[in-house]
Amino acid sequence: MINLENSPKEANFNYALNLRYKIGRIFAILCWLSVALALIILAILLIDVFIDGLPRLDWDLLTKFPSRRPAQSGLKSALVGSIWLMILTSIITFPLGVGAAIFLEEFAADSWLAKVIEININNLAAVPSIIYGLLGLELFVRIMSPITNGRSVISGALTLSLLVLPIIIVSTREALRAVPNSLRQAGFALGATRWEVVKDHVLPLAFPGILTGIILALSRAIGETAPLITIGALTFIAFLPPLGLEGLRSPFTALPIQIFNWVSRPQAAFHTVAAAGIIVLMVLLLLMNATAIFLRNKFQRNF
Amino acid sequence: MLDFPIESTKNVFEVRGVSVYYKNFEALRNVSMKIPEKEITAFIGPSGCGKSTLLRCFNRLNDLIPGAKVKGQIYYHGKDLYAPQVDPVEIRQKIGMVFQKPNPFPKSIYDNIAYGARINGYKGNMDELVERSLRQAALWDEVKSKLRESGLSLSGGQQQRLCIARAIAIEPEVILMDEPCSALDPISTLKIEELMHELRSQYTIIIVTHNMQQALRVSSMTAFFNVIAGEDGKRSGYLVEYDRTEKIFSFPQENATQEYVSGKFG
Repeated sequence: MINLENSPKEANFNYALNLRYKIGRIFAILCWLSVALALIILAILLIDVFIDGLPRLDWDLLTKFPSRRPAQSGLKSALVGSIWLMILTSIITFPLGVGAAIFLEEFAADSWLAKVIEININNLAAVPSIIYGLLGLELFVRIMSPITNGRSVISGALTLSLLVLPIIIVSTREALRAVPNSLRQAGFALGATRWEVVKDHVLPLAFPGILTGIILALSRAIGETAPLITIGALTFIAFLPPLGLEGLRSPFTALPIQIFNWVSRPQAAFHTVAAAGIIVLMVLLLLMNATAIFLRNKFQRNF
Repeated sequence: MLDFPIESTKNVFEVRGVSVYYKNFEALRNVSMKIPEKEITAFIGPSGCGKSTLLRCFNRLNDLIPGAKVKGQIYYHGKDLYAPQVDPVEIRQKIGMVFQKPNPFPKSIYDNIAYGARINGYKGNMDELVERSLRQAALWDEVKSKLRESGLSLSGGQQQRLCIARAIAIEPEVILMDEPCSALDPISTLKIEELMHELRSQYTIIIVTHNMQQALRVSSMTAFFNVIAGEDGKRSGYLVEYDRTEKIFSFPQENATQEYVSGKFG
């Protein structure tokens, strides 16, 4: 150890190392407490839902259609409806969102118009979801009704797409911006065109980040209730959309709507079914997030 | 001052009254010079003197910076590089570049070399091209057993030689080097300098360097740039003196050059 006492400069400094370490420890404890608080609240919520829902969490819940009798109620149509919505929403938003982000980040000139568009997209990402519901109701359910057949799966998916597009554009741009500029310059200096630089260097490197952003945006969409209620998704559906193009025009329900419906019933037995439904929704959400992490690690080769 | 000293050799570039602006800021003021063929020309000068800015004009890489504007003319074999019908992508196939920080693609060593050739429609045998380029860059013996490994797994000096190999793989006429050794240790620097001596017989090389000894060691022509502060306090670069390297270092015509090469400032 260095003997500070003997240093001739000692008189000019008050090192107070003990005090500085103490302040550091206090800060660490405060940070730990905030983590603990968040986890405790989450745990209480989970335990409460599990206690309520576990008795009804069985195969019947997944394979039965909703019913007037709580004991025979299932969320088959809601689960299948949610899966339809997620698949359609990702098919719609992946090319549109990633394409828009690539254009704004890599191709658009740094102009006044580009700045206006950027500010607007950031604002759109913060618009309450019910507003998108109202837009979807007018545009997809009413105006485009000859194509969408009104309150159909495709109307719901289009509405959710509107909702998550700004989020996907913003997160994709972040991922593109994280690609070092030196790599773009290396490509250009070899005589690559802008498209070749984007395709061969920028996109492969940004892909894990883009994918994570998309799946996180979809996890937000799967829990959305307000816009789907606004466009008038039904709560009592005792059939599945037919597989194929005709399924797009079929009426639908989704997990959050079904849960919302059960929670608002007076019978306590329905609340148990709702709790079980929440568990299913949560497992679905965790699965999607796990997929995001898995895909990110898979594509994030340090190559 | 700007008389061209070796009129007998062919010139690759002729710079005529070039000024470079970033938005309203004048980074480089009124430069005129000629770059001789198959020689190494060094740009030296203090930070902010515009030497890298001028270098990036030769392959039109400044085009990528929003708000950058070039006034004056740069002739490449008598053809104006900034004429409206000139395609910068085409220019960059003939004028390669090596950057300050080694920037290999996050791909295999092989693909790093093959990439430029592939996009430019190389018709020959790719394996041969990769080997030839790596040999020319004095890197072949070190990497021949691990061509499929990532270019990023190499050391800094090896990465820079990989970048040089990548640049020569597309068979350019000119190689621009923007402080290629500033991120490297002395031994790697020496290797790159030896490599430049090897390459000078086949390529026209322009190198920007902070290291005066390096300019003295490798180049046959040296241009000294300096900065002046304008009325608004903004600093612009300008060309002070351009001559044979021995002359710049031994008998400079200008006071500023004398002070810079003798280490009084910079």
